[in-house]
Amino acid sequence: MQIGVVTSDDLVQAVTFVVCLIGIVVWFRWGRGRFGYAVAPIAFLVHRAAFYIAITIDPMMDNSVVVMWSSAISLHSVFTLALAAVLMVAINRRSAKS
Amino acid sequence: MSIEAIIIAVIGALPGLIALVGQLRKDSASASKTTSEREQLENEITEKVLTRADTEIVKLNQRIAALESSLSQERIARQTLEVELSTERKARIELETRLTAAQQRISALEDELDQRNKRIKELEAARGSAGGLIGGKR
Repeated sequence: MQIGVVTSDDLVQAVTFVVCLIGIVVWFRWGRGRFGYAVAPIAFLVHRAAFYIAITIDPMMDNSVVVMWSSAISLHSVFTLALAAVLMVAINRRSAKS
Repeated sequence: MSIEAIIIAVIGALPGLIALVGQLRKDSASASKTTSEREQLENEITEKVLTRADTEIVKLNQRIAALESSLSQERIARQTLEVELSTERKARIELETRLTAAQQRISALEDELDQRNKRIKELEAARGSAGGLIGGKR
């Protein structure tokens, strides 16, 4: 699907990028401003941005590479969610102690 | 999903995992250090409070002892005053008894005086009439 010069995939990528930025900010605040807690979402954002830039620069990229990279990003998002859950549990436990 | 995809995902997630674990350990160590410092501070404060409380208790005990001594002195003074009051009451009762007796004596003397006066007047009257009779015979 194409709306003018913008394809639906571009739109999805942009929305994903914005949501990812919001997630980083929220996660950073949840981690009480400690940079160590924000590395995981930033790494996911970088991974996703790299994929988007690569596919923009080389639209004729091999389909198998695109599929592999896309799968890797999906798995990476799951890892990121798991790390977020670990962080939440750790901070909740610490809050309960104090 | 291919092995390459899994490897790339793991490599992508690894920095976040390492940073997260490192930060958690660092925060945990910091929290335990903070807890230890807080406990030490609480102990110091408790010790100071207890020392201050002991000092205040000693001062209060001294104050209580002084008040008890003062109370004892006041009791002794009150007992002395009560003894004096009792003596004074006895003296007053004795004086009142003597006063009553003297008043009775005065009353008796006044009665006797009245009788004497009356007797004198009777005698004078008798003498007057006796004098008149003697003069008439002459």
